[in-house]
Amino acid sequence: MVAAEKTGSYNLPEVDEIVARCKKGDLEAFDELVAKYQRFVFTVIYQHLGKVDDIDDVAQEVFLRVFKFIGRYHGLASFETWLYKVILNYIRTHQRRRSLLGRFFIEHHERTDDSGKSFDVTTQLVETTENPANSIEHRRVVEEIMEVVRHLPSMYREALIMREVNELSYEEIAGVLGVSMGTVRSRLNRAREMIRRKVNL
Amino acid sequence: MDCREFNRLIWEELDGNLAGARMHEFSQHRQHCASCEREYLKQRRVKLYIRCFPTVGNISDKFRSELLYRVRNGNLRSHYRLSYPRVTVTLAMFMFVLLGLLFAVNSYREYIVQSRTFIAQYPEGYEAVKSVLVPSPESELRLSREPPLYALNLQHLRAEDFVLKLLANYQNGEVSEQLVTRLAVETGLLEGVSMELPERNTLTPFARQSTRIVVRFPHSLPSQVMCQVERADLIELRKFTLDVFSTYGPGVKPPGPGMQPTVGMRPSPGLPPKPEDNKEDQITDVIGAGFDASLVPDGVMPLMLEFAPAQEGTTP
Repeated sequence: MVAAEKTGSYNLPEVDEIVARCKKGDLEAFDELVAKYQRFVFTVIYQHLGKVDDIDDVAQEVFLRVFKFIGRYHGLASFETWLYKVILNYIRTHQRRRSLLGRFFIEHHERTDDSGKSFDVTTQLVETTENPANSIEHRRVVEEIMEVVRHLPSMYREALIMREVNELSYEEIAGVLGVSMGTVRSRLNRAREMIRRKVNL
Repeated sequence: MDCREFNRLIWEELDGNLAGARMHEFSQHRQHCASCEREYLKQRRVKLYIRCFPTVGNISDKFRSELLYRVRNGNLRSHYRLSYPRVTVTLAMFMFVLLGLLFAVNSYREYIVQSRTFIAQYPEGYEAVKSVLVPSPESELRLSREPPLYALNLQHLRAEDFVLKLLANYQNGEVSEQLVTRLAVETGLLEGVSMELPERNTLTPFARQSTRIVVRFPHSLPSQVMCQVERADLIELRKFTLDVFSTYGPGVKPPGPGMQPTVGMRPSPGLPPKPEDNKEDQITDVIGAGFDASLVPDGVMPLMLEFAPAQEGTTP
């Protein structure tokens, strides 16, 4: 999370300003917002869903939702927390669609511009994924843990990633998930216990 | 601090929530307990590795350009759309399979189901005629000193009506199969009941079913029959407005010579209207107002069924 400078708001002043302009339908402000948060959005999606082919589609849908519903953001939490909530809600929708029946009945339209040129960015995206684990051995362990984390029940996985990867506070996690702090603590303990049992270090 | 407490606090420490005396106790335990130290290091490694989850580096400019292109063109609809052809094809296939299954089930049913007559399968050793008991002098003698004799007084019902009412009550589950067998089958009032069911020699499938049945009466019906029913059965029949029973109790005058049980077989179709006078003066109704319970002890007692006199010339 980007640390917010507390000026009566949870956000930095420039974020508040961009959000305010976006609420008025300013497309340039929206472009700035996308430029500022696109890496955050992609990362969160990638960490929750893993290597999916349509990660850029998911990110697009998230930003479109942000554009449509930004009027509902009233500054009661930081913009990143609100954005995280939007991402998580859409990820859940996306996962339902990816179920067997959903995959069969839902079709994906290839996105092209007016000239018919494809907008696909996924291939390039996978190549630019950054893994901070340096050695091959460390990468292997990280991938092993990632695999374990992705197979956790969603309620535990979401809390764990928000806490350990994105370093959200318990309060922020509770805000995103819409549960109490005690529930967050309990889910985290459960998730950590599951990982402790499954990962052999 | 014991090991259990230590393990409970590992993540508190890793989250930075431990301080002061608790932190001191925690550190002390780590130094003295090798297994807890190993566990702590393992948890810390897990935390560090999770923190190393990959992040996304550079995002192509295409992403933003497409997003803005869509917003400018008002194309805010999802790329994921319901595939109507696929849904239609799936529904069609589902309906096809369902119809196939229904056809198969119906064909199978037609294969195994036949029209069977099951009530006509009399119990072994029985025949309709044999079940009509001919009162002998001994039985007449018994009438006057043994349990009372019950007579069917068909003032309001013909035999066919009686049987149909009996079957209707049986179908409702209000009359037992044994009673139907004794009153209708063994007395020869009923030849058979047919219905389309893959069942055998039993009345059971007939009960509580709304299936259409065919009730077949014998060519000739006896004018008088005799069989045994328990008193409880008799009372049960009265409950269902089968108001056809009267009795001859001990000391009551039995039927005269004109009412011999086996006399007067008549053809079942085209029955003549019931004569109004049916020798009521010889009959005492034991269930009605004049009933004396002491005359009718519990247990099995004979029942005489009396039908309308046969028309002249139709008796076989």
